[in-house]
Amino acid sequence: MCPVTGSDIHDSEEDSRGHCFSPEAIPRVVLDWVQYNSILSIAWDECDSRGKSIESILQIDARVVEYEKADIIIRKGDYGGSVLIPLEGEIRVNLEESGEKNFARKRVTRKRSWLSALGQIFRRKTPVERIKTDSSTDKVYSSKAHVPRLDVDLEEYMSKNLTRRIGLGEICGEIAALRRSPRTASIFAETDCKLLEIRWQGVREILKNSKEFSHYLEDLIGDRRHQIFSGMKTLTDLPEAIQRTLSAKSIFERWGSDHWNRNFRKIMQSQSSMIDRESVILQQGHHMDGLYVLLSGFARVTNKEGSEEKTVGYLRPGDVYGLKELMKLSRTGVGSPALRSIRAVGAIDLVVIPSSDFVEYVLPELKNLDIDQLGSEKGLISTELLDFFLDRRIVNGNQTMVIDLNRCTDCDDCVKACAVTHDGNPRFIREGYRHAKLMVATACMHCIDPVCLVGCPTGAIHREHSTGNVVITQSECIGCASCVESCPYDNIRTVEVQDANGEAVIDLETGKPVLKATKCDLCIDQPSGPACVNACPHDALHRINFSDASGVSSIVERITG
Amino acid sequence: MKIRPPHSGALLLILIGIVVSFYFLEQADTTLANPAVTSGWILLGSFVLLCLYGVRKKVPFLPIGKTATWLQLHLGFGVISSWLFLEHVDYRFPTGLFETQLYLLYGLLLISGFLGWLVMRALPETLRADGRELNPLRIPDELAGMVKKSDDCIAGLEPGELNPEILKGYFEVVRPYLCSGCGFLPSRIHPEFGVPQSLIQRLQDYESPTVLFSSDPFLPVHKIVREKAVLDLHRVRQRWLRGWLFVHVPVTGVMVLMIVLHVILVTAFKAGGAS
Ligand code: HEM
Ligand code: SF4
Ligand code: SF4
Repeated sequence: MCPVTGSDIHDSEEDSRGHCFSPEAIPRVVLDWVQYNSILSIAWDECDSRGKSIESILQIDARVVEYEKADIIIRKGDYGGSVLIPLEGEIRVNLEESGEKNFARKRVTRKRSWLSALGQIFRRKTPVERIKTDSSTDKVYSSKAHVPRLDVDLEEYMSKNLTRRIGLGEICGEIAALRRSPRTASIFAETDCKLLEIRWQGVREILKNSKEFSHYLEDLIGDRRHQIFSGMKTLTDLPEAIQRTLSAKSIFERWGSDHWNRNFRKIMQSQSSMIDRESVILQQGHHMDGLYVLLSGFARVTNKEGSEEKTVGYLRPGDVYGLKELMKLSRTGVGSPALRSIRAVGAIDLVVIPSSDFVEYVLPELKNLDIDQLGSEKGLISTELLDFFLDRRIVNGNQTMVIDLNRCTDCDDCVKACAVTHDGNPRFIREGYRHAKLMVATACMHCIDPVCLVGCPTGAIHREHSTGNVVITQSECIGCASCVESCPYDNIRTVEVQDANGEAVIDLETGKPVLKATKCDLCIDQPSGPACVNACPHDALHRINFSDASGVSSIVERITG
Repeated sequence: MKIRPPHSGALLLILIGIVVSFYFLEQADTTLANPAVTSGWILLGSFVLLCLYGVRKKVPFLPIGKTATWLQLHLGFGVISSWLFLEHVDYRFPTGLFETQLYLLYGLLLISGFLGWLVMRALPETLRADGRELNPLRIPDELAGMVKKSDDCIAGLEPGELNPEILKGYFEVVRPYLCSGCGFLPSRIHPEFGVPQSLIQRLQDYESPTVLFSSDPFLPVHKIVREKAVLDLHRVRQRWLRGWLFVHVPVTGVMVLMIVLHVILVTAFKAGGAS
């Protein structure tokens, strides 16, 4: 039984979801309106006939949200896990790149001055982490998130910049919601408005039960597909015309489970073989049908040795597989079978550019250097270590904290440094997964696939554009702990908010103490950057970016070599 | 223990430090100035540089080079300081009481520094060899768990399953051992039984160790005693890794005070002598 709506939940997957998106049920009048006036009308009967009514899906996975004129509803580049359907009022999408600066998140955290940094030494340790409210005298707080707002004359902005109105009942935000990729455009409220927000779990449920809706979304996404090539290391230089041709001819695939992060901790405890759980995308020895380009998630590259599959590398978003085989095809005219197998680690999106199209469109544009780089395997690390990094999804990290246990003297200077820079409360634990002399500490890895971002209802936890770091805007965090539960590595905690006098701040609506999520912020406001790395006297503590193959292998070699 | 190459920048600075010190000492020699005064001032300079490392460790948030690089400089200047110290005292034992105290303390500071350098390079590798990754704060709980587990083993025995001598040995020797500290030096471990030799000697008064350690009902307790022996070795290493700093840091504090006094006395004496 859904605790809020009272509706029965039979589906075991929903059972595991535990709670509804909104504390309030969606009113009947809204449901009726959506049924006849929104894009969901095309899926309504089909879902009903399959015994999965859209109404029951919406009661669990949707909520009604309200915005005021000039509110920013979606920011380009943010990660979001939901789609929006306007119910009342007007909303617009910004189409002018030059106007995007008006939507940008104001940098809340600035680097401290040296003087202010030095002041931290004398600050008293707080018993729980203290996150100050905006006003030091505020003892109460409303859990309604502070919605960011466009700081411009709206009419003037719309007259000077290209924007497009999204009609009532239309859908928007689907690419980011379904592909776990950043939002592709900013959306703002032209007037006060009401929207139906459906989280991605609900959208997937509707897609599963309605072919018509699924085709509709496919067409919608297909229209903008070519944009994905622009975000990639090497294919970004392809002319737009070629990108469009390729997107029309390529095959887009999705593999693995979207929920990998939810049951990941359980799987880790079960000690079962990870490799056997992963779906095989490409089998070694089989016909090589094209260039495999990873759009999101991770893939394991394996080589069969005897009866054993040995991990020889991994792919991260933007990486490609198949270049060696395709180069042989272009040189000799004879295709080569796949030299390696590829498996989906978690959920992945990939695009396969068919061999003939690759030879015709992509190859002439590639430089020799690109070919060498794209073809090289990230295989400088031993199979055991690759398995260690892949099985635990550590390859997700852009800033994974790795400690060389041969050098570490347990002095805890790293933890102390973290404490000094965070009011006496360190943001990481010097314990974690261990492989031989290497330990991955429990510290936010600032992942490339930041699953913690997906469920955040306010977008408080986000990736900074300039640095790629995953940070939490405290004023937007409502302490719902969605990110805490989503992080498969246990790297986020919630703490009580205290006012300047050290007293707990109470939420007016719930009567409970206000919570906020905290985690390693990479010392974003410190003059030095990560204090932990700076503080280690023995150079035992490193931050590894798993996209940088040579960086990974040089540190790993130093630790294990 | 691997010899790690020093940071090239740090190495260069140290070389410059040596050359500059050498230059001034030679100059003092040729100008017939009092060499102890010159070496004294340079020694003071090296002391200040060495103390600065402690200050740097307090401010990890300032972008003034990684602490690891500072440690390399600290080690390098520590070596230079040892040489300057010997130059300063002219390779002799001083005479006055205050000078002797200063001499002994500075010597202790340098020796503790070298000891620290050694243990920090040698111990981490052996510390990890037992596969334990124990936060020292968790060890008391771990030990309490061992005592409880072994008490439970004994309590769970059927009456008469263990002979009374063994039981007596358990309560008078084994259990106190499980509750005991780890000491400062690693115990010698019996190659066959994997428990400290000293424990075996004490147990001999109750029962032959061969009989004791091969008796089935005692096996679970034997396993716990072996674990305690491994844990003790781990703790001894942890103790040494941290313990030397309990000499190095307080002596640094005392030295700062004494050196200030020493400089005041020497300059006052010089001024008095001159007048
Ligand atoms: C006049 C002589 C010296 C002074 C005043 C001095 C001072 C200090 C200070 C203040 C610390 C920081 C302790 C802490 O806060 O954790 C330190 C650490 C250390 N010193 Fe010295 N030191 C001296 C000589 C030496 C020498 C000769 C060596 C070895 C060559 C040495 C090796 C070390 C080492 C290995 C550390 C620990 C590094 C760490 O874990 O941070 N020191 N010393
Ligand atoms: S980067 Fe800063 S916040 Fe993150 S673990 Fe290191 S010291 Fe702590
Ligand atoms: S500062 Fe370095 S040596 Fe000390 S505990 Fe942290 S990682 Fe280990």
